Amino acid sequence: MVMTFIYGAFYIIAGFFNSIRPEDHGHDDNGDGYGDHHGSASPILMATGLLFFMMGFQGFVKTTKAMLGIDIAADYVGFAISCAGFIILIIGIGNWWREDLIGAKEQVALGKPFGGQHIRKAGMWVFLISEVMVFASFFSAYLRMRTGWCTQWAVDAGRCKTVDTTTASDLLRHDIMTLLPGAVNTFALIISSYTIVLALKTAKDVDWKPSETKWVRRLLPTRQKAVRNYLIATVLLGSLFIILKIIEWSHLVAEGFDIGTQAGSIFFIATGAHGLHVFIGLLVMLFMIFKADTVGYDEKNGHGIEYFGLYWHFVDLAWVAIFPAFYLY
Amino acid sequence: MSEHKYTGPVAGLFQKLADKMGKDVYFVNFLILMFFTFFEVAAVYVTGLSVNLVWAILIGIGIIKIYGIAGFFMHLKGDPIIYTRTAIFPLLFAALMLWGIGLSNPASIMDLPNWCTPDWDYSYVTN
Repeated sequence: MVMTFIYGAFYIIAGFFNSIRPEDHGHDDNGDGYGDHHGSASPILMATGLLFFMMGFQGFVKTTKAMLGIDIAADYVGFAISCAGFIILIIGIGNWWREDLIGAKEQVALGKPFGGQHIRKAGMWVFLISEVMVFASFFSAYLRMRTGWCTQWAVDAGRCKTVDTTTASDLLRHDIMTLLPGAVNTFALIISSYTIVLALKTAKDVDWKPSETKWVRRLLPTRQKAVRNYLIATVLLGSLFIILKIIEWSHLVAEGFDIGTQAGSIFFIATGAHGLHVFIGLLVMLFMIFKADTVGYDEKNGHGIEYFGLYWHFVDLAWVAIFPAFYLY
Repeated sequence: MSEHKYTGPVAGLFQKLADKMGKDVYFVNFLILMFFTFFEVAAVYVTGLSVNLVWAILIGIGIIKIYGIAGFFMHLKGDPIIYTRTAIFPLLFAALMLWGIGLSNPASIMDLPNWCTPDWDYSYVTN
């Protein structure tokens, strides 16, 4: 534990100072017209903030409960650590957004295996690797439990005789109205994946012209507003996803399917983790809409949409696996 | 993301459809994804299909959708091969997890064939 803290402190301090150190000039100039690129302290700040936030989170929950009058001992140390972490996290996010609004050159990887590629893009893909593992752990846990349950499917398939477990799909898939939120959500995510592709395409299209169709021209009058409006459409679809998710969860809880059961626990954790990803994506997109409306996205800085788009498409991909596994099966 | 002509047996088909419609390949991909999602939901409501067949349909459609999203929307088809390798790399570990954990339930009532269940020592279950 002590060694972990020492290593952690080393990476935090060294990472911070390394990030604010000016880079050598010219070696990664990709001619995009921005000034010298910067090292950013934001990632290390956000990671540190998140570390402290999670370290003290248990104390945060206990203290909040105590403040609400629930009979539990407060943990003020944990509460303070968690709050400090949250503040550092917000500072990191604020700094990241400030830097993004100013704009900087894309840093290009010099070594293998991503040599010549934008570091942010490579970083996003490496991040997505870790995300795949997170969802793989949910699926492997679900599969392990599911193969042990005698569900309606197993009975129908003649593999056991009496139903001992009710899954979310048992409560959802038999009625079109109960399956509707999940089904609509599937379409909402696919459409939102396309709208963000359109936002990126519009941002990078130097020859973009308003449509000749009147109503489309009113919706997308200029390139800058078209990008912004495509992003707004994406946010609306993502928000629809969250709203329908809440409706669906409310229905399940009203049916007695809650997190207290084994089937409920894996369902709510897996779909909740996915919903959290959607929610975080919405927060990032709010910033992107602000940027699209003020600074604007164009062929020079449109990478931001592309890299966020990778995350958003991954969220869609995860749903491609979650929907059949948890709603249809 | 750059505009270019896709080639290959499947991507080339997407491109041909796009050229025929006078749209870009992303639009065609979007339509295909929408179509298969309708098909996916409908498959569960079709009566008379065996559980295994429904599962096969769901997995098949899932693969098509993953190809469409990762290949075109995430642009793996047009980007350098290192990104495809990066995307495939964790799938190996995911597959290991699904096999080693997901299919290792000693009390499985699904009667999984021996070839897909790890031969673990389950003594810890009773201990």
